[in-house]
Amino acid sequence: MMSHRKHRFTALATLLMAMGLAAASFMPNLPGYEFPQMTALVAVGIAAIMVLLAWVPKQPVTAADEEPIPWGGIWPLILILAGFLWVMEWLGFFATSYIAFFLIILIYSPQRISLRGAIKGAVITGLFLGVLYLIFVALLRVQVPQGILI
Amino acid sequence: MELFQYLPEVLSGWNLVILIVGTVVGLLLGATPGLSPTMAVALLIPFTFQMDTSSGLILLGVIYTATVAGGAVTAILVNIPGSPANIATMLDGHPMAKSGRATEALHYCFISSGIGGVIGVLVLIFFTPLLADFALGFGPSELFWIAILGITVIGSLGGTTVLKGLLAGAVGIWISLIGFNPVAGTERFMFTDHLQGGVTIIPALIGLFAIPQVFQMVEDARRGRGGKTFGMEHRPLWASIVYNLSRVRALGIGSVVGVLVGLIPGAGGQIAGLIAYDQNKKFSRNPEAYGKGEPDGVIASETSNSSMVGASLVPMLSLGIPGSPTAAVLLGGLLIQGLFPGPDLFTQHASVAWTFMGALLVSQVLMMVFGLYISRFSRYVIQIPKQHMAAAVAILAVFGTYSVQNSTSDVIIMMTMGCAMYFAMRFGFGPGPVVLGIILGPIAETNLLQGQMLGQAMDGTFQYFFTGGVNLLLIFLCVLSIGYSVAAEFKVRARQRRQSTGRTVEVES
Repeated sequence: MMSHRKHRFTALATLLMAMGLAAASFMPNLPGYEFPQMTALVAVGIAAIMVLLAWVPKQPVTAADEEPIPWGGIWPLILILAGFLWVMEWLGFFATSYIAFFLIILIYSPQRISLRGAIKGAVITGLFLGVLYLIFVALLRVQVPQGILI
Repeated sequence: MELFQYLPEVLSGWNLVILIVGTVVGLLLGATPGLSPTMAVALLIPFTFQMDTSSGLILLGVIYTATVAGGAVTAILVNIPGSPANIATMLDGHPMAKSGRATEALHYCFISSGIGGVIGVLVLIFFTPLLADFALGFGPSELFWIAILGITVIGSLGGTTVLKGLLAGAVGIWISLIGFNPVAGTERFMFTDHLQGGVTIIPALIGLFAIPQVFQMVEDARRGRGGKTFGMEHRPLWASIVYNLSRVRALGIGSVVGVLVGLIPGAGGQIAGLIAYDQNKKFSRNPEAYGKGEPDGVIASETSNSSMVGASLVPMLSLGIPGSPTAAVLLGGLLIQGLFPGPDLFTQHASVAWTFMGALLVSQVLMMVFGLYISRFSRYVIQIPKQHMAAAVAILAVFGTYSVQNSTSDVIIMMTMGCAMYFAMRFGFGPGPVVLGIILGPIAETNLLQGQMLGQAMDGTFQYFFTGGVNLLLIFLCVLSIGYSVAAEFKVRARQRRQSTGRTVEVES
């Protein structure tokens, strides 16, 4: 569970985000923006109530639904996903998927990285992508991004 | 009855193959830790484009049915609910498995799911056309309020707190408005070239449901969660069937609670299972046995969450208000096929609607038969390492998103929304209300704009939207749903305050 300070920070960040939506909706001043403006105002109203509730004194924090972000565990995955998007069109979908799949199972394996584990991971990755290729690309003719590889 | 007219189509070659394959795949997906029914349905929507409308919807429906039932396998064997709907099953199912009665618990799970599922689909078959006929006279104002009601109910019941649910719904609506105004044609919020086509349903669905699960699974893998803690015995199926059918009270409470909760939009399966479990315990002569491996606990919760499936589709097919987050995703699948819920579905697309409902009925029977057979192999499925599942889901999410429009922009939108949702979930926001906002936002806006034009030509916009029996009833229901949720939250807060020893932090004055 998070501390009360962090709970207030969540409420404030929510309000800022809602105000950002409102600013984007009201700035153009063009016809056709009425519904987004109404929606953004509702969002600002709800976020403002959240901020007010977070500041009510002597109230216990009931933020059992809030948890800290485990940055230490997720940053490799974020890098892998971002890299996937970055190189997918250049390298090709299946080649990029192979690298991403292999990296995920290698990095997040609870066991220590070993040569045997890496070979096993490479074979499992190949099998998974082979089945995907056979069913969807060879059989159903589904298109995937093509690059210098497949 | 029209159902019998279309039943041969349900059992025709291709549809029967889809039903059987969908049931088996759905049961295995449901039995795989980390794969929720909502995510499974969202991931499969792109692949239904290759099929005709009826077959595509049958596949999504049967996957929904089978994954909910299959989710009980992990709940019973490893104490991890395959989906939120199976939380109550875990309470007695896992103690049974730990004491070497895993096969017996799995038998009760699938027999009860089959019985509950058939009851839920019968409710769907009898009530949906009636409700759809009632919606025949609805104009833009009523449809606008229905869309708002849909968002308020799932916003207030689907999330952890009312305010967060409603805010997530509002953000979902705002995201759905990126693109062009449906009447004026004005270009809105296209901050990059990737947003030229707006945010379509598929990337949003897959991103919001699949990517946060990928993060959750790698986190679990790192912590090495899981492990075998159950014993599977040899037990004759006949003995389980006889015992299960003799538990009339558990089956009755489960069915009634599941149907009622399913009919209330936004309530969700986990509530159905927990309420049925709780009520059955209250009526039991031996309430202290619950939580220690009482078969009635498994029977009541599984009957309830399966009867909820059919009932949750009643408001979705007749009014366009989904009864659960998975029904919201199914609604997306329906809209993508060019079908709109309501009376037109039963007049212009009667064959699709009745074939779909007939297929759901058949799928309940198939789910029970295959479930009982497959359950003995489920021990192998649940041993798939989490990091392998995470990698497979991530690749399938990219593949499924790209294959719809061959668009890299869709993949970028999917990934961005998915990552943002993961972070939002850490702060208590759920993906259900956001998805519903994205689906219902354009419906609300189109009807609001059409209503404005009609209102200006009549007595004025305000009178058009705020007068008339149905309009006032819908506005009342919107207020009621929010009011009820606020009251429920205050009750929970008051209870937490009373029990606040150590768990809560007092604010410094």
